[in-house]
Amino acid sequence: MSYIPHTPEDLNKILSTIGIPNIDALFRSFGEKGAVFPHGALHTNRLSEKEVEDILNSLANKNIVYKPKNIFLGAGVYSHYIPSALESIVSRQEFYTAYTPYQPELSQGTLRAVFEFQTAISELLRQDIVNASMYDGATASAEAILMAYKKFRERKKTVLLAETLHFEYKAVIENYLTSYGINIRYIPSNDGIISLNAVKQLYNEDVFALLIQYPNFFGIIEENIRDILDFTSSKDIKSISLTIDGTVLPLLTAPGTLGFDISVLEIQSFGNPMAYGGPHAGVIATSKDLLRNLPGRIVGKTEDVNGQEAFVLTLSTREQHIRREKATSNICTNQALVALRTIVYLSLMGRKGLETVAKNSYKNAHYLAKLLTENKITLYFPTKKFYNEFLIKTQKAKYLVAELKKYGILAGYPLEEGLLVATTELNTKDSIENYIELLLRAGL
Amino acid sequence: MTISNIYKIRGKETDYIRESEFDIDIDFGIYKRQDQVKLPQANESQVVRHFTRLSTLNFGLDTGFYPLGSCTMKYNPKLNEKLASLVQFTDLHPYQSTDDTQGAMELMFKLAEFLRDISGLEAVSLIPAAGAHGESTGLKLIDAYHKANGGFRKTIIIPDTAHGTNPASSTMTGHEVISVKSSPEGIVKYEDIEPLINENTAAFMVTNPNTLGIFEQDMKRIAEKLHSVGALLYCDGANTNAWMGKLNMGELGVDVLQYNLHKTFSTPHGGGGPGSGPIAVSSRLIDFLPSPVIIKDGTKYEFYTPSKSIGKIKTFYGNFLVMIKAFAYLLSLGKDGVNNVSSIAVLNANYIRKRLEPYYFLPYNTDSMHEVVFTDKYQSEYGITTMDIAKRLLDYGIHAPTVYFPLVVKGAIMIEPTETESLTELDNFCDVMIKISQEAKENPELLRNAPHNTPIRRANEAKAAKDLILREENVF
Repeated sequence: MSYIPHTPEDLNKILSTIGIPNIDALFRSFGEKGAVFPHGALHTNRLSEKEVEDILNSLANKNIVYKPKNIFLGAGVYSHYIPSALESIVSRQEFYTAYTPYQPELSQGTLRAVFEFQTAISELLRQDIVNASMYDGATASAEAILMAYKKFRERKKTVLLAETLHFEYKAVIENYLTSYGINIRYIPSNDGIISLNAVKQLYNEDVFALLIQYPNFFGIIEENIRDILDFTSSKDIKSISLTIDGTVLPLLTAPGTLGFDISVLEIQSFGNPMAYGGPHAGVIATSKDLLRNLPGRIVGKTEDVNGQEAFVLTLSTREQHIRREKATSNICTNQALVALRTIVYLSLMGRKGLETVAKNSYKNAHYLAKLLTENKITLYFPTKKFYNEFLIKTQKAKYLVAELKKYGILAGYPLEEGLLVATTELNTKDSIENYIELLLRAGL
Repeated sequence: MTISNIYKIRGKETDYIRESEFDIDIDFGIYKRQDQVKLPQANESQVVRHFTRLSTLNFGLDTGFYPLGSCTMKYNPKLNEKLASLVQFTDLHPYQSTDDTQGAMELMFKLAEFLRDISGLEAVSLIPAAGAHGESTGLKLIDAYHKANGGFRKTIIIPDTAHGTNPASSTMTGHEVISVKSSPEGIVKYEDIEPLINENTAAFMVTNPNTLGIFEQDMKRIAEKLHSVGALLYCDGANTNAWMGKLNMGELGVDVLQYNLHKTFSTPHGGGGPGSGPIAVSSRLIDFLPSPVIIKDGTKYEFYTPSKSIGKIKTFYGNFLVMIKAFAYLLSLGKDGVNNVSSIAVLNANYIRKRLEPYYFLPYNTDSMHEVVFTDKYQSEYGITTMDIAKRLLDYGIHAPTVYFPLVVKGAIMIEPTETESLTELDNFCDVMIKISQEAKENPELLRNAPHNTPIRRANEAKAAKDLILREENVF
C-alpha cells in the first residue's frame, strides 16, 4: 500500500517547477549511497491492505487472551472494565491525530480535556498541581525523586525507597538515578510493611526523599505511613507516594491528605487496556511549593484577546525546548492520549461508578481470601489490610500458574514463597469459586 | 462556542457495573477515606456530547495540512488503528507466560528487524517510549560502553541547531554539553569540531539531516575522528523521513540512532503522545542494550537480558500498541515503499522551497532535504513577525509550521510537508503563504490580530503563567 497521492503528472509538474530532471538530483548531498537494507529483513514490494490485515490477524491469533472474569493476575497492571463510549470518543481523529497543543487557537479540545484531567486527578490524590502525564508510573516515580533532589539544589544525595515497592519500579528508578550519583537505600520490611524504626535507622542528613508504594506491591495498606510522614516532615525530607491501581482512591485516604509532598499515580487502570504493558502512563501531582521543579507539560487557564476563556500549555520555562540543558527533564512527547482516555473514563464512570469499581474490586479479593482461609490455605500476611491484591503462601506458585492456565485462568504473579493474586470488578462469584476449586485440586 | 467544564454538567450517572452482592465491609482502618472524591456526575449522553464538542475545537491531520517542521505530521492510516485494537493485542497482560504471547513477540521481533534493516546498524531496542526517552537511553548505552573501556567521559558535543531534548538528555545522564557552531552553509564542518574532540568526549550528538533540513555532509569524517579517540557518534533520527532507503547510517559511522515511530512510521501523535522511540545501535553497544530484548530461540521467541545490560528504562516492553501500527505500516510499504516515502517527502519540501523563495527569506542556500526553513526578514519591514504569519495561516485552515526554531535562525519558519500531501494541498499552502506575504504589505493589522476565524483568538500566555490556574477551582 502507499499513502502517497501523487500521480505521474503531478510528479512531472513538481520536477519541472523545481527545475531538476529526476528525484535523485535532490539527494546529491548524500554522496555514495552505500548498501541500503543490508540485513534483508524488509520485503521488496508493497502489500495490499488485505494482505497486511491477514498477517496481523494471524499474529494476533497466536496470542492467548483470557476471559476477564478469569484474570487473577495484577502485579502492576489491572484488567478493569472500559465503557464502550470511551473508545468512540478517543477514536475521533481531532483528538488522536493532533500534535502537542503548541497552537492553542486550534487545540482547545485537547487543552480543555487535559485541564479537566488535571482537576480530576488533583481531586483523587488531593494535591494542588498535576502534570499532563509521563511515560509510565515507574519513570514518573524516578522523575518525582529528581524533583526533590533539585529542590535541595542537589546537595543531598540519598533517597530511601520502601522495600515493598514493585520490583520493576525499583529497577527503573535505580537506572534513572545512577547518572546523578544518588544513593538508594531500601527500607527493610517486616511482615509485609515498613516501620518508622526502620526509616529512623537509615536516616541521616544526606537523605532528601523517601518513597512508599500505597497500597504496596503485596497489595497491603502500609499502616505506619502516618508516623513516618510525621518524621519526614520534621526532618525536611520530601515524601513521595506511589499508587498503581488508582481505582482504590475513592475508598483510601488520599496521599495528599496524609501529607505526602509528591504523589505519583499510574493511570492504566482508568480506561486503558493492559496492552502487553503499554501505552500506560504516570502522572506526578504535588503542592504549589514544588511547581517549578515539576517535569512535563502543564495546562493553565487564561483568556484570549477578546476576554474569552482559553487554555494553553504553561510554565514552559521549565521545559527542554526553552531551557535546553537546564530543563527540569528531557521529556517532550508524553502519553497525552492515555490522559485523555483517563479523563473520559473518570467522566463516564463518575463518582458513583468509580466507587462501585473500588468496592467490587475490594470485595472480590476479600471474598477470595475468606474462601481460601476457610479451605486452610494460608495468606502470607494474614493480619494486614489490603485492597484488591494479596499474597497466598505457597512454594509452588509457578506450578500453580501453569496448572490453572490449562483451565483458561491467569492465576497470579508467582513469587518464590507465594502467589500474588489480584481481583477487579470483572471477576465473578462463580469465577472466584472455580479458581479456588482448581487451586485445591492442583494442590499447594 | 462556549463550552462549560465537565463538572458543571449534571445528570444521572450511567450504570456500567452492578454493585457487588457480597456482604463484606470495607476496612482500611485509619486509612479509610473521609472526604468524597469529586468526580463528574453526568450521564453517558452528556459526557459523549461534551467531549465530542471539545474535539471540534481541535485541528487534526484529517482536518487539514499540518506542516510542522521536524514533527513529520504524515497521514495516519486507518488500518493501523483497527489492527492495534484487536483484543488479542489489547487484552494481553505483560506478565503472561511467553507461551501465550508468541504473536506479540514475533511482531516486536520483526519490527526490530525492519528498523535494524533501515538503519544499517546491528541491533534494535523497542522499549523507549518517545524520542527523548530514546536519547537518554542511547546516552546511557554510551556511558556503559565508556565505563567498560576506560572510564566515564563527561562531554557531549552538540550543534547549535539541535532540538532542546538533546542537551536536556545529556544533562539527565550526567554530562556537560559543549555547543558547536554550525557554518554559514548550515552544517557542522569537520574543521570546526575537530579541535573539540578529545579523550573527554563521550559522544557527538547530531541530528541528520539537521533541523535546518540540511544534510550533515561531514558526519562520516567526524565519526572517524570520534572513533579514533574512543568517542562515539549519536544520531538523532527525528528526521529519518529524509533518508530511508538512501543511506546506511551504520556505514556513516553512527553508533546509536533513535527513531520516532510517531513521526517517520505514521503512528498518530495522540495530541502529544504516546509515541515510541526505538534505538538502533552499532556492534559496540549491543551488549549494553536495555532489558529485555527479544530473541528467537529455534522457533520460539524469548525475552533475554544482554550480558552487560544497562537494565530497565521503563516497565515492561515499551509502547506495544504503537509498535503494532508501525509494523503494519512497514509491511504495507516494503523496501520500495519506504524508499519512495523519502523521495516524495524531499520532493514536496523542495517544491515548497521553490515556490516560496521569491516571497520569504531563505537563510541558507544549501540543498534542502525533507524540510525547509524560511524567516520573517522580508515581512519584518512591515512590522510583521513569524508569529503573525503563523497565526494568519490558521485562518486559512492550515496548521502553523514550527516557529522560532531552530534557535540559530532569527524568526525561523520551519516547514515540513511530508510525502502524504498532494500537489493540490501543496499548491493551496503556497498560494496562501504568498497571499499572506501580500497581506503583510497591504494590511499588516490583519496579520497582527490573527487569527480571526478560530475557536478562540490569540491566547494570553503571559497571563496563564502569571495567574497559574492549573485546575477547576469550584467543583461541587
